[in-house]
Amino acid sequence: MDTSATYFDGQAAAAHTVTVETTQSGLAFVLPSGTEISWPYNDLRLIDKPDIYGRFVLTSLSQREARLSISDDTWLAFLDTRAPDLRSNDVRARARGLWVIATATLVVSAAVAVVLLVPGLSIVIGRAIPPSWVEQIGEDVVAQFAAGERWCTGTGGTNAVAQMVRPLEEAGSPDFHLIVRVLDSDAINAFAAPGGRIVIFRGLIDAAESADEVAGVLAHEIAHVIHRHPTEATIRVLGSWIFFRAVLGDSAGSAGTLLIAFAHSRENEVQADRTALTLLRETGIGSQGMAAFFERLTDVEVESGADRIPSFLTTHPPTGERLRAIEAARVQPTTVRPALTAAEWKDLKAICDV
Amino acid sequence: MSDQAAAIDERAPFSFVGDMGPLFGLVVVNALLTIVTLGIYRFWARTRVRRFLWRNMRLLGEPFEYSGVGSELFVGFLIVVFIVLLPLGIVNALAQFLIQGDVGAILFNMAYYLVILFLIGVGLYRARRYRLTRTTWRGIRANQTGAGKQYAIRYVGYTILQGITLGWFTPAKNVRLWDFRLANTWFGNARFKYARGGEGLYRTFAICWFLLIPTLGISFLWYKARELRTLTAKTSYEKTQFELDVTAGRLAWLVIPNALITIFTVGLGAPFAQWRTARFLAIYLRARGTPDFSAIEQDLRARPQFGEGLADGFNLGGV
Ligand SMILES: [Zn+2]
Repeated sequence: MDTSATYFDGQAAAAHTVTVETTQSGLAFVLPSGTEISWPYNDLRLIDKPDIYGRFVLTSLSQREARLSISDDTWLAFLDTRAPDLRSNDVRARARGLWVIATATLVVSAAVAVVLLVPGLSIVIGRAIPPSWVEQIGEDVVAQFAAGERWCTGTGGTNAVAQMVRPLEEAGSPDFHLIVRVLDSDAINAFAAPGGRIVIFRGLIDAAESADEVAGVLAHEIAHVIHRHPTEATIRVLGSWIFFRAVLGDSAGSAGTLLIAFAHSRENEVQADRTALTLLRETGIGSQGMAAFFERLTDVEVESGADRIPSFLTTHPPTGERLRAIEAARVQPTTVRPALTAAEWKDLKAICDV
Repeated sequence: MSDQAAAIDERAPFSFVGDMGPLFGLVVVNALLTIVTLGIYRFWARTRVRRFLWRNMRLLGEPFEYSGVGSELFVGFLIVVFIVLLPLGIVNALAQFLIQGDVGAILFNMAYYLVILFLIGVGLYRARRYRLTRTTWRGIRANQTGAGKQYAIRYVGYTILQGITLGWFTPAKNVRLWDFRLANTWFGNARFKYARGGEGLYRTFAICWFLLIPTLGISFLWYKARELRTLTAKTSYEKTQFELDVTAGRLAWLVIPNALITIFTVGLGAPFAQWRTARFLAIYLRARGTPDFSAIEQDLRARPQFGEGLADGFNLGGV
C-alpha cells in the first residue's frame, strides 16, 4: 500500500515528492537525496483533520517540525487502525495545563477575595473618603432616583419632617448632617443614600396610619446612615463592578456585582433594625408604630399578590424572624410621646399637596 | 482524490477550500459553550475557528497550519486583566472622585485616552505577532520582530496627526504603519519588503475626501481599495511580488455584508465574516515569481508564550 506524498523536512521550505510505504512498524520513504526516513506508527500525529478534498498533514514525534502532506484520505482510515495516538494533540503546545490550573486558581481566589475582602475594604475606604465627596455621591444617587419626579415642599409638611428628624438625629448623632426629603411618588418606599441623604416616598406616608409608623421607618433609615451602610454599599458595588467587568465582560459582570451588592444587605438590615429600636426608645416614641407598620405591609403583600408588593418590602423583607425581633425588643420608654402632634401629622400627610 | 496538483495556478497561488457547513456547526457549538461559561470559552472558540480557517487556506496546494491553543489566549488575557485593565479601571474610578474642576478632568481624560490609544497600538502589534508565530506553512513558521512600543508610539502619533489634519494624514499613516509591519514580518529566515512610496495615493484621497459628505462616506471605499492595491503591489517576499485585485465594488461587497453579519448576530457570527474575507483573499490575492524555497530556512526566533491579552482586553477583534 503505497501513496505519493509531499515531504517537508521542517528545516527549509522546499517540497520533496516521496512515495510512502507502510511497513510493520511504521511509514517509510526515501528522499530524492537518498536519505531514508521512517516514522514509527506510535510517533505519528495528525496535524489537522482532512479538508474537503481529503488532504491531511502528518508529523512525527521524532521530527516535530517535519510534515508529510497526503491527499488520499483512505490512508487516514488505515492509519487510525495502526497509529494509536494519531489524533492525540500532545504535539501541540505542551505543559499549558499547569498554567491553566494556576490561573484558574488565581481567578477563583481573586473572586473570593472580592467577595470576602471588598466589604471590609469598603468600610475602610468609606471612612477614608472626605465627607464632602460622600455627600456629592449621595446627591448624585438621590438625583438618579428622583429623575422625573417632584420633590414635595409643603411648608407645614417640611416643618413636620424637621420635627420628626430632630430628636432622632440628636439621639443617634450620625457622622453626616441629615437631609430628609419627600418624593412625590406612589411607591411605598424609603431609602438612605450616602452622605446622610434620606428620601421618603409619598406612598409610604399615605400608607401609614400614624406619625409613629413613619417615624419607625425614618429611624430605620437613620440607623443605616449611622452605620454608614449606604456609603459602604456604593463602594462595594463600584469595586465589584470594576473587577467583574474586567474579568467576565459586561453581562456576567453585572450579575456578579448584584450578587455582591445583596450578599451583605441582610445583616445590614438586622443591624439597622436594632439601632432603630434604640433610637425610638431613647426619643420616647416607642416601637409600636414600627411594628404595626411592618405587620400591615406584610398583610398587604399577602392580600394583593405579587404585582402590588410595596417596594419597601422588596429591599426590606419583613420575615417572621425580623418581626419577632422587633416585638421582642419592644421595650417601652418610661414616658411615651407621639412622634408628631395631630396638627403636624396632618401637615405631613399634605406635604405633596400643591 | 488528488485534487490540486493540476489546479495550481502560479499567478493565483492561494485557494480557500473551507465550506460554510462545517463552519456553521462550529459557530453554533462555540456560541453555546461561550454563553454557558460566561464568556470564558471564547478563547478556545476563537482558536477552533482559526484552525478551521488556516487549514482550509492553501498556498501552492499546501494548507496553512494554526498551532495556537486556547489556553495561551486565556492566560494572556488574564495577565492583561491583572496587570493593565484592573489598575487602569481603579485609576479611572479614583480619578472621577479625586479630580475636582473641569480643567483637571479634561487633562486627566486626555492623558487617559492617550494611554488607552498607546495600549491599543501595543495590543494590535502583539496580537499580530502571536498570530504569525502560530502560523506554519510547509512546516516553516512565520514571525514578527520589532517592539510593540515602537509601533504604538507611531500609532499614537499618526492617529493624533490624522485628527489634527482632519483625516489628511490617513494615507501617510497607513503607508508608514504598513511599512513598519511588513518590514518586521518574517516567514522562516526571510522577511517581507515594502518598496517605499505611496505618494500617488494622495490624488485619489483628495477626490474621495471632498466627496465624503456628498456620498455619505462611500467614497472612502474607493480610496481604501486604491490604498490596498498600492500597498500590496509594493510588497514583496524573496523575489515574489504581490498583487491584490480589489476594486471599490468588490471591497464594498466584502465589508458591508461582513459588518451586517457581525452586527445582526451580536458578534457571534463574526467567523462567517472571516470566512468571507478568507475567500476574498484567496480569489483576489495574486503573486508573481516564486521564491527559492530551499533557501528559506526555519524561523528560530523567540516566540511569545501567551497571546493577545491586550487586544482582547480592548475588544479589538481581528480574526
Ligand atoms: Zn434598611
